[in-house]
Order: sequence, then structure tokens, then C-alpha cells
Amino acid sequence: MVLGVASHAQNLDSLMQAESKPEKTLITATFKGTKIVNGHSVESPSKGVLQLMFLHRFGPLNEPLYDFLGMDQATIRIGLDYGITKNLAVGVGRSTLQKAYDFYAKYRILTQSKGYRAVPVTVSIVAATAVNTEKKQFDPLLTYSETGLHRLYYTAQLLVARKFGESLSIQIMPTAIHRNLVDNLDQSNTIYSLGVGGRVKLTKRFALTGEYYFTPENQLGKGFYNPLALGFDIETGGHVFQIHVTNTSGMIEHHFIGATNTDFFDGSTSVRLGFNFSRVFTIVRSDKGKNAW
Amino acid sequence: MKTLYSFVIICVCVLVVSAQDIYKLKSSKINFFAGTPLEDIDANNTKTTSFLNIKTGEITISIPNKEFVFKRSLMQEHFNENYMETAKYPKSEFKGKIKDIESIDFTKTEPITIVVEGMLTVHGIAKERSIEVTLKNNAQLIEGVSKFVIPLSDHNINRPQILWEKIAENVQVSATFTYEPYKK
Repeated sequence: MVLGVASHAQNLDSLMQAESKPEKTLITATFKGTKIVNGHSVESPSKGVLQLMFLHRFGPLNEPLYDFLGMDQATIRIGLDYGITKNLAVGVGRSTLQKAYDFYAKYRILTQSKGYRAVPVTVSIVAATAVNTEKKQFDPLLTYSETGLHRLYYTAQLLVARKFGESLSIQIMPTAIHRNLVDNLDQSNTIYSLGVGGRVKLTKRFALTGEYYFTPENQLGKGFYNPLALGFDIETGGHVFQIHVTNTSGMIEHHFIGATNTDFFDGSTSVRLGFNFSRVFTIVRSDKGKNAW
Repeated sequence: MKTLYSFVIICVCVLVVSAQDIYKLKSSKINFFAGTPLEDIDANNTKTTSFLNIKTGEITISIPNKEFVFKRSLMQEHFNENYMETAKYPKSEFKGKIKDIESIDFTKTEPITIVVEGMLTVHGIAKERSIEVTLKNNAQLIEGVSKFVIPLSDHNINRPQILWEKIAENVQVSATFTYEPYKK
């Protein structure tokens, strides 16, 4: 009997091991925000969550005192994002640039996981469209009559991200943008861009971020540059603050990828402060949490 | 020869009895509440695995931390990322023994109160705990219900100053575990 009892001590542990099924752990929170800086991250609001986002880009920092760090030339985008399902989100925004309205849908195809049948990356796709609603200026040189279609822009993005451990996340984003009308002859209607973004988490609530989109010069046209942004994220409860420096004043793809007209490395005449501020509201609470008890 | 036979018979008996001594967790619910009047922080977990030996009183429990489901998804993310650090500490565990196991009659159906003593490991920190459990047995099933409090500081889970008013210092845990005889 003593022997029998003694063997139980090992028994329970070995039983626990035998019962543990191969597990798959999803890697979540690759980025804190739904945007890295200017462009989308693989993240979306969760199902039933509405996110209100204010984005500001100040004017250049060349006359910091006179322009109050560029606040006098601030451009704004106000956006609403909503998680329809776990993987599908939609959003709408209004920018001061071009008085543009933008709409997007973002769908997560793959979620990074480890363990049983691990998936190495999280992949999301974004389809977006924007419309310029600024009043037309009369232009006697115009050789065609502009229609509503001329004011539309389309963006398609593939976002591939990987979280390396808890602190480092890297994302690459091949992007195609189509502009129904461009201003200059040397600008392509369709441009192809490759973006790289990342995050280094320094503490639980503080992270450094960076983002760059490369588009060949011959597609952008003369006088347009690739956007670079460097900043940090601060998270407090339901808010995420993102503060950064960048050379673009656009906050939707066809603006910051296709129409950034200053070079980051020109220094204070191009670099400007910007911040993104988001707040989430839980509209529909998780059913699982409610009924589990 | 006789002694050998009797030894074999005893051994077989021990094995047979020990198989029936072991109980496996059939269903479970763990709820924790760390809320304050300002914020309703509460989560449920039904993905626990556990084994119980009613002969020796030994019990082992393993709780996958990522399976705590919150009503607000952002809270769940914060729980995993900032407080429980589930990537680093995927499981909470309890290993212990039922006190005075010899005096407990598992065939009786009236509720009885027992005490389980052992080590609770949460967030990588093991603490000795003594937990009162109300047992109800019926038709082969053993059901244990318990309510207890865990101070967050015991397990080195820090509350950020800015959120202090929102997260309770002590977490109220309630658990219902139902065991059934283990069959291989």
C-alpha cells in the first residue's frame, strides 16, 4: 500500500502532462495602435469596439516660437474605426487636406501564433478609398472638364508583421495607390510603394516607433519625397498617445505616400511634430465573457 | 508460494483501487473580480485542467492565463500584456493536499467544508495558501466551491499609479470545480 501511495505523487504530474493537448497560442498586440504612425498597422479595433481617433500634423519646425512649434499650420484627420468581427474592421475619416473623406476596410487574414501549428506572421489587407471635396478653382488653362471621378483615390495594402519576443515588432507593407487624376505629367496615376515600420517596446506602456515608405522617384514625380516618421507611443488605459516627427502633413495613404512635398533631411523646414490620439469605446461586450459564468 | 500469490493479489488490488482514487476535472469555472466602483474588471476561465487523488488528498491544478475572458477586449489585452504577462508566465498553478484526508468521507452527499493547503504559483511567484472549499458529492461527481482573496502584491503584479483607483488591491476569486473518476 505504501508503495502504491508513493507512486501517486508522480502519477498526478504525469497525468497532467499526458492530458495537456498540443496548444496554439495566438500572438496579440503586435502594435499598440491601429496605426504605426501615418499608415495602418496590422491591428484593428476588437469586435464591437469603436475607436475615435484624432490625428494632427503641425507645420514645419523652422520658426518654433513664432508658429508655436508649427501649431498654426496644423492639419487634422478625425476618424472613427469599428471592429465588426474579430478580424474585420471598417473606418471613416475626414482630413483637412483636400477636405478629403476616406473610407477603409481592414481584414486580418492570418494571426501569428506559437506552439502547435505555429504561424510566423500576422497578415492584414487594407482596401481604402478617398475623395477630394475641395471646391474647384476656375482654371482657364484646363483642357478637360473635371468630373467627380477625377477626385477619387484608391489604396490597396498588404501588411505583414511579426512580433519578435515581447519588445520588437516589425511590419512591411507593399502598397499600391491609384489616383484618378494627378497634377503633373511626371506623376504616375498608379504608384507602387514599399513601407517598413516597427516598434521597440521599452516599458509596458512606452514604445518607440518608426515608419518609412519607399516609392520610386519616377512615380512620385519631381518635388515629392518619401515619408519618414519617428516617434513614440504612450498607453494609458483606454487611450493611446502617439507623438512623432515626420516630413508629411498627410494622414491618409495617397497624401503621405504620394504627395509629401518636403524632404525629411532638409531639416527644420520639413520636419514637423505630429500626434495621434485614440480612445476606444466598447459598444458590444464580449458574449463569451457574459455567458461563461 | 502462498505469500507470493497474496503479494500479487495485494498489488493488483492497490492498482485497481488507485485507479478509482484518481479524479479528473470535468468542468470548471474560475472568476476573478478586481474591480472598483469606477471600473468593472472581471473575467472568467473555463479551460483549467486538474487531477485529484482522494486517497492521498493530492491535487494539482493548471490554469492557462490566456483563457481568462473579459467583457472588454482592451482589458483582456492589458491583463495579458501588462499585468499577468502571459507570454512570460502562461500558466497559473496550484499543487497541494487536502488537509485531514483520512477523515473525509467522499460517499456522503451532505456538503462539507475542507481545507486545501499548498503552493499557488501566479505570475511566476509561488505562495503558500490555505483555501477553504465546500464539497458536494453526488453520483460519482465531486464538486468543490471556493471563494478567496489574493492580494496583487503577493504575486508582484504592479498597479500603475495612474490607474490605482480603477484596479482593486485584492482580487476576489471564486471557483467551482467538478471532478469525475478518471478513466484512461
